[in-house]
Amino acid sequence: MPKRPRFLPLFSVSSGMALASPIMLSEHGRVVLNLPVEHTLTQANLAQLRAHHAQYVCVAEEDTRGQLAREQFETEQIHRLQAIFSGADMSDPDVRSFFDAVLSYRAA
Amino acid sequence: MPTITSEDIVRQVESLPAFPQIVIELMADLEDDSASMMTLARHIERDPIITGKVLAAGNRLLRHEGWPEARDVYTAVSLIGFSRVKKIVLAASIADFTVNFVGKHFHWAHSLAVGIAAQELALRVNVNPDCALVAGMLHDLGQFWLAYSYPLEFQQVRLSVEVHGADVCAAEQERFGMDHCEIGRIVAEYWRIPADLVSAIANHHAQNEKALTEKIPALTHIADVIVQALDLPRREFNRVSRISSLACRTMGINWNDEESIQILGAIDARYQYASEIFS
Repeated sequence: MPKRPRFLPLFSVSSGMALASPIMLSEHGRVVLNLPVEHTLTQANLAQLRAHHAQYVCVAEEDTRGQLAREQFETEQIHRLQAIFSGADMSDPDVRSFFDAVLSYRAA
Repeated sequence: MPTITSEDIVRQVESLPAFPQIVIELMADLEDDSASMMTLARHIERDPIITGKVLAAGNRLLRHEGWPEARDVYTAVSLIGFSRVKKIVLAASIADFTVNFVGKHFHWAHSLAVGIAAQELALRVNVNPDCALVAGMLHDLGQFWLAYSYPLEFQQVRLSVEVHGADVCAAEQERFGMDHCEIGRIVAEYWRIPADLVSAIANHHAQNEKALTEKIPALTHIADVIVQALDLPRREFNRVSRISSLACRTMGINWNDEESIQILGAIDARYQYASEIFS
């Protein structure tokens, strides 16, 4: 099953989820929590994240959508972004690369 | 059709809801490391409305974290922490300030999103995140003024933006002779808001490129562009007309880097988190 990264607010994170990005929290210049990519979150980890005031986590979520649903979702995102950027000069390299980054994030 | 002058703006500022004194006091303390929890709690306690909002938002946060509810500001500050309470106070105070404006829900949700995006960007370039939060939350101050002073004309301009896809600044220039960025600058200067925040308000549509060599104006411009592109909050008329290359350079952001996805994801998730706290 393919996986996709999801940035979730801490309220929506539960134990058993695997990290898509590492977590390194520091306080006063000292590392207080360091979890590697692919680490599976435990209840204790969630308590640590709450204690250190983390607000979000990037987890790897199984992508249960079929190929058709994925393509349809990507097409919807492209159309939406084309509407948002309708007044922008897409030949501007910064606008173009920003558009591509947003599409890459939204269509994931 | 009104053509607005600087004198009109200053004259009518007096009839606006008073700018929250607590925000001015907190902004004065933002760079002061010696500002204490007790000082913050005393600032909050002077305003019963803000006290109620801080306790409500703080208790939502405490419930999510498994703590008992706080019944007074001092307990809330102790349990939630100085830094987080300060952010809640700034956000709640500006929400309270905007409550009387037309389209208040939109203004609040959009201002909160830009504030959070600005704060997230600030953390990456060692800018005070509280200054960035205030800059982001106040960036549309000129629209607050327009909505309050000319509600009908303001709605007509919004309609031309939403229906015909007009550029908001051009539409305001045509209708009022001045756009909300310039109006916001005049209001902010009248209220003696710090100069870097005034510049952020005046230049969040990147009118004056030179101003975007400074980090607070640069990150406020980029924050506004990001929340439109991410639909935070979702509105049919969210639009990106440009993103300043200079502002991106000032912030050291390269949109071709993998890091840019982390920035977008962090802003999206933190907005959802804050929406829950302030719901």
